[in-house]
Amino acid sequence: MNKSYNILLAACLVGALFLFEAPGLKAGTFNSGSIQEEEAASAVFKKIEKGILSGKVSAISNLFNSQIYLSLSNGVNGYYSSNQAYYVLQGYFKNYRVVSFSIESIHNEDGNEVGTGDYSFSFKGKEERAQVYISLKKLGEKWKITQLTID
Amino acid sequence: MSIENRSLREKIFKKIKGDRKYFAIVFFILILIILSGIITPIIVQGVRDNWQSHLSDKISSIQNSVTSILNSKEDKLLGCDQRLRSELRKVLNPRNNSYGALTRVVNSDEFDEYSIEVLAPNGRLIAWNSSVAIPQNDILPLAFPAGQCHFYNGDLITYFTVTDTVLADNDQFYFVVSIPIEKQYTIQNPYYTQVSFSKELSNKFLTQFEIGYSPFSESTRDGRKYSFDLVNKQGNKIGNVTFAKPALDTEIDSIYQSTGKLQSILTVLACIFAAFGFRGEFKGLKYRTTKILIFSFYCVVFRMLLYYVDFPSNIIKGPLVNPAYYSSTFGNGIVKSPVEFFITALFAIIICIKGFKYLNDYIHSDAIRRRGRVIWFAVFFIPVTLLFLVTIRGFCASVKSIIFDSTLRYFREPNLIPNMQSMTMNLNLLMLGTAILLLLVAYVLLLASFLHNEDRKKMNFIFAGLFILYQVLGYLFIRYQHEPLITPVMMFIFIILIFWLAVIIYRNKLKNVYNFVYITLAASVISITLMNYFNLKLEIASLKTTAFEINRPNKDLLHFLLSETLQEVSNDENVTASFYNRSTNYYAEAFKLWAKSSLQRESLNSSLSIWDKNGDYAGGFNSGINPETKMMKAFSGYTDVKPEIIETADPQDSTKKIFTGIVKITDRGFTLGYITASIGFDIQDINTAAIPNFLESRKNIINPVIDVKRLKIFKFVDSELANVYGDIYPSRDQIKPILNAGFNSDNEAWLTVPLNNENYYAFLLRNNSGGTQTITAVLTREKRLSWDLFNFFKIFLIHSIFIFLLFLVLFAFKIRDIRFSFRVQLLIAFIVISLIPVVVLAIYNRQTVQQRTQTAIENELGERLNYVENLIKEELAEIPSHDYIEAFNNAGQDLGVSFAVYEGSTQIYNSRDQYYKAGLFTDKLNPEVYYQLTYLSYREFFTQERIDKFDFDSYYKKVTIAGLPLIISVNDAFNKVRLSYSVTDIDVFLFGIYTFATIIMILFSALLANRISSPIRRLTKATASVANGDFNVELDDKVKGDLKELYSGFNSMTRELQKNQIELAELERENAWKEMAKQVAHEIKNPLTPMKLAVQQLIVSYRDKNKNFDSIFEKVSSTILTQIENLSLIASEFSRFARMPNFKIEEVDLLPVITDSVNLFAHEKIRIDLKTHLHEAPVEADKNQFRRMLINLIRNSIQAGGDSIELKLEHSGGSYVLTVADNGPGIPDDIKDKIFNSNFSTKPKGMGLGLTLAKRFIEGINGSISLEDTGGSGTLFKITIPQYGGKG
Repeated sequence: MNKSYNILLAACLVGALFLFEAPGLKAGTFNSGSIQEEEAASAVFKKIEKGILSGKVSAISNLFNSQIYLSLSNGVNGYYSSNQAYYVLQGYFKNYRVVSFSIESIHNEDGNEVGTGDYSFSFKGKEERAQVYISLKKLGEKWKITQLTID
Repeated sequence: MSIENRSLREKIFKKIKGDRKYFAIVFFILILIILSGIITPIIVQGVRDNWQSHLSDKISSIQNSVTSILNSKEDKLLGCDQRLRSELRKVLNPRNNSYGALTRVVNSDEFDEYSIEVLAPNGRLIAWNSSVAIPQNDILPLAFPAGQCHFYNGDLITYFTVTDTVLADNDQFYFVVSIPIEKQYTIQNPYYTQVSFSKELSNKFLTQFEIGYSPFSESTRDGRKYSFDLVNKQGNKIGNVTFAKPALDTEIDSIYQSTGKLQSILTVLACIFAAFGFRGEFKGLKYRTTKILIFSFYCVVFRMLLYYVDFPSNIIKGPLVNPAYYSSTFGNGIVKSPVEFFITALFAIIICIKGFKYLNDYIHSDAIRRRGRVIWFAVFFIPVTLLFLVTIRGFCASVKSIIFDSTLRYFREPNLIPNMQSMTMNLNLLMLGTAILLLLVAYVLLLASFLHNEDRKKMNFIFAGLFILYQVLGYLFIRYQHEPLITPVMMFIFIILIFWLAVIIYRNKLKNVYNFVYITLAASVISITLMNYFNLKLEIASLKTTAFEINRPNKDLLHFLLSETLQEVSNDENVTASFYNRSTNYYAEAFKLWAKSSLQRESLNSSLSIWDKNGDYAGGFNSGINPETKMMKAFSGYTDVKPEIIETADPQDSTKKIFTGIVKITDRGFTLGYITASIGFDIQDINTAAIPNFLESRKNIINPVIDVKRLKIFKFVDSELANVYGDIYPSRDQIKPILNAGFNSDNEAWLTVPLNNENYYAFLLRNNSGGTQTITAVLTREKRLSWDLFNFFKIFLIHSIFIFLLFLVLFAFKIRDIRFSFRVQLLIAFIVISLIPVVVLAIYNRQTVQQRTQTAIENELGERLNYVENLIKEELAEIPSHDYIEAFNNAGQDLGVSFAVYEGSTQIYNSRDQYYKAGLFTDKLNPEVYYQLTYLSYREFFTQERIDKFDFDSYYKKVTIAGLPLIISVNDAFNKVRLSYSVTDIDVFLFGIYTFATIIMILFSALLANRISSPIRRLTKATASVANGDFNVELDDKVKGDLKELYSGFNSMTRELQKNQIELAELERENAWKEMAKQVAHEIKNPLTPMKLAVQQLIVSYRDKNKNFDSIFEKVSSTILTQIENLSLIASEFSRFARMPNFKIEEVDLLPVITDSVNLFAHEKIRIDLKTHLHEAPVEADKNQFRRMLINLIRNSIQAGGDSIELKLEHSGGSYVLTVADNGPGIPDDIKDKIFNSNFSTKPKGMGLGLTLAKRFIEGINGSISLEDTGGSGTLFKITIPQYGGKG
């Protein structure tokens, strides 16, 4: 009798945990993780901002995904390997020299972090502006740039 | 003074003679580099200090240059105008009047780049060529006086044009010649041809140019810019040029860049000349190991220097330096572009060729044979094997990078011979492959040489053992690698190829340069196999990219693209200006805006429309989204100047969501109009004909790696199939593996899915957003072998061009050595005979395939045209009241076929009218079609037409609809006729197979020619030996047939000759002795007579006791002594007469004489190796005597039973030392001291003179010959001859 009672009690406890605690635990973990992820993504965007401002691709190349979508104002448009993206961007920053760059808004879309901003550059002595769209995706434990548009 | 100067100059030149002159050049270059470094900042400072005056000069220079460029364009146009006028005068003359002749003149190739229109005196257009620049109504009245050049602004293109007149029989005809000068739109795709005078100037003068192509264009008021008018030759203003004044920073930057380029070129030149300077020292190095190490070090340093100074990347432009075509971060960027890769591969192959040659020599040197071979094998086996395996992996990684780090799709190139960048990358791959293969073969040869054995069978066993060992190790290397790059089967095949090459090279002549052709051929096969394999990997990996690409256009991105487009158009001054222009073609304007926006670049379904200030539709351009004419209602509340974007339903399919945005165009607060743009994405729209190929940003952006038609895409929302792309709609059972797949932490999964009895590779991407789970599955069928073969031939064809070029280069280098021997003639005959049918077949097959392809396209277009015609006729027959234009419209919508209808030469309907409204196509009938159908009364006509670089097929037919004679045309510009195999596919198969066959034929021809000519070559060599006095030569008579008789005859002949020679020599000797005895007797008799008489006189005087006896005795004694002296003189004379003939002493290079002598034994069953590091060996000797002596020594060795002879020539102590060693039984000790004696021989037929004469000859030239102690077996003769001009 005692044995049956104990089993029943244990089952109720597990059930209660499952019904009430688990979702709460999960939600708590998720929220905390989400905030941490947002902070991590924000730090990545800061790093990108600093890297592009310095005009040094090496400062952001470790953030490139194995395949990265580039769309640049010099006509570059398509998927590039991280190796290619390094030199494609190096050539772009060399000719379209950065004057100012800032990421103005960051938001989450379908689990990806998206940053948009303005890129002012000097081309053949003339200063021009372009819109920037950067998309980050979390792969493993790291945020990687999957798209960089400067149009 | 002048004598002193000359003397000084001579002194200087004397000092910098030889290698020193290179160092003088290097020194001069270094001074230039330093000077350029010093001068540049001074120039920069000068520019900075006098910037205003410099700027003024620069502006003036730019203005003059621009005017000059325009003048040259004007001259060219007027030249064309003159030529055309002269031609027209002939054909428009009523006596020669023929419309065909007029059409031919106007459409002749001479005027191909121009647009030509000819108008009758009444202003009617009577002839034109394929591009009509100015509409008929805009030509007259003339905008400019006849014969004066000016600009004409078309809807999309601005032309530089001239209208002129020509008189023919008192009738004045008008003609217009135009050439595009500025395209007002840009499309980023391979078919677009850029024509832009302003960009041409911007690139030339490194500042931005704007050109107003109108005499009313005004100068700028912006102080940062400069304007000037463009005038024609008559001094009339035709336009205005405005350019941004060059900025100081840009100017300074440009000076530094120019200096940098100059310094980089100078540095490269200095390196090259320094290498020439050290050439002498390099040659003088004693050890080849040191040489090869120094050479490799120099190459590496030179390569790094080139990289450091960014040469040649900094001086060339274009695709070869574009990292998109290839770039890797390997080596910090030494392969960052196709041209950098080329330079690196070039240095790699040079080092490898040098290393390979060095190793070859090393392998066959005494050093490696005499030392403990097995110990060396044991020492080197592990490191060499590790290097072997790591080198293979390195090469695989390189090929993988070539495929993965490039946007070039080598197997999908549309042309048989691809573009420059693809050709370069293929060459790079072949060079790298050859370099690697040289290394791999060298490793195997090195290990095999440690176990070298003269017995061929034993050597075969050694190679077989090594092969098995390497196969096992190769398998284990692949099996236990963490991430193997290739499969064990591939490794197995590569090792087979490498060993096959190693065995061939080991057995054949190692220094044969054609070995490099074999190695290159094998490198091609291996590299293409790897390319094919990694391309398959890339195709699979591209499924992942496709899944990302499908999920990329999310709400946020579409919103961004629309916002960006609308902001851009609202800031565009041209857009504002267009609203003020009453004649603006808003369709063309919308197309221009669409073309330069991201809507075109992203290749998504989109549209862009222009509305007037009342919200009425003015014009637009769409690709996949047809804007609703009532769209403005959706934005009824819009008042802002900023863009507003909303999510709405697609007007054509309400189930699809699209984004639409609006922006107001204002000027100084007044509303001029509105621009709306829409964008949407749905996987069902992938690869639809919404955007024609000639406008698509890049073909198949969704997946450029494989044909999108091969993909199957499924999208699941909350485990329910929501969307499908492709021809398979999967059942619930079929989608179970996808839904139950195990996703990794990145929400990705790979699996193989069986669908309709076929296996598919699938990539799955899961997305959790807003409580909804979506899974995107992208699938492609497993590859088939036939496609792989296609890939192989596609690349092999390109490689074979390079291999053929290599063959030609080697042939050209060896042409001096090539004698048109029987073998060469046989080879040429075989190749010619086998190539003729191959070439004929290839040409015939290609023509047949082309004809069939054209017929297939013609039939398909003919069918489309018949559908259109029948449908129109049926509709008009059913409802006679219908307007025929309405019937055309219905047919266009029902069939989805692109067609046009012409009345006379003017288009009255087009199912794709937006492209005509925008001005992308002319509405005038193709002039050739007009002539064929109207003047020659043909019923149908099939032709090829083009827009920019995009070719398409058109089919025209005369029809009668509603009683009207019309012409209907259909074309495949918007939906290409799909053939099971394209002409390129067929070309690849045909030429690939034929090229492969040709190479195989050449190899077999060489083999057969070698085999057939071998007996003849042996006979030739034997004859040459006989001619050189070697009668001991004997041919092996084991051959069969006629050759056996020939060989036997030759052997009998030489034996007979030898016998005759001996007999003749004996006879001659006998006769000589007889003659000499006679002469001796005769000569001796002469002094004997006076001696006899004198003695007799003395006896008589003695007997008579003559009192003068004393004086008589004295006289007689004197006579006798004189005669005895005479006899002595006679004896000396005879002795001198009997001496050996005199040698012909001259300067002789021993090396070629030795080589020639050795070559005489090339076809005897004996291995003769000549080893020397010397390039020449000059001595004073008689060449023929030396050759005879050497042949005699070699022949002695062969006759003694040796099968290997080694000759070694060295330089030592002012003399050259030649050793001749054989592996025969040797000379017994008891006769060693007799071998140089005359008449001593161990051979039954020997005369015993050979070595005696050899010794006499060598000693006659102050040399020595001796038999050395070999310690048992073999014989070794050492010959020492003093160096020419040396002290010895």
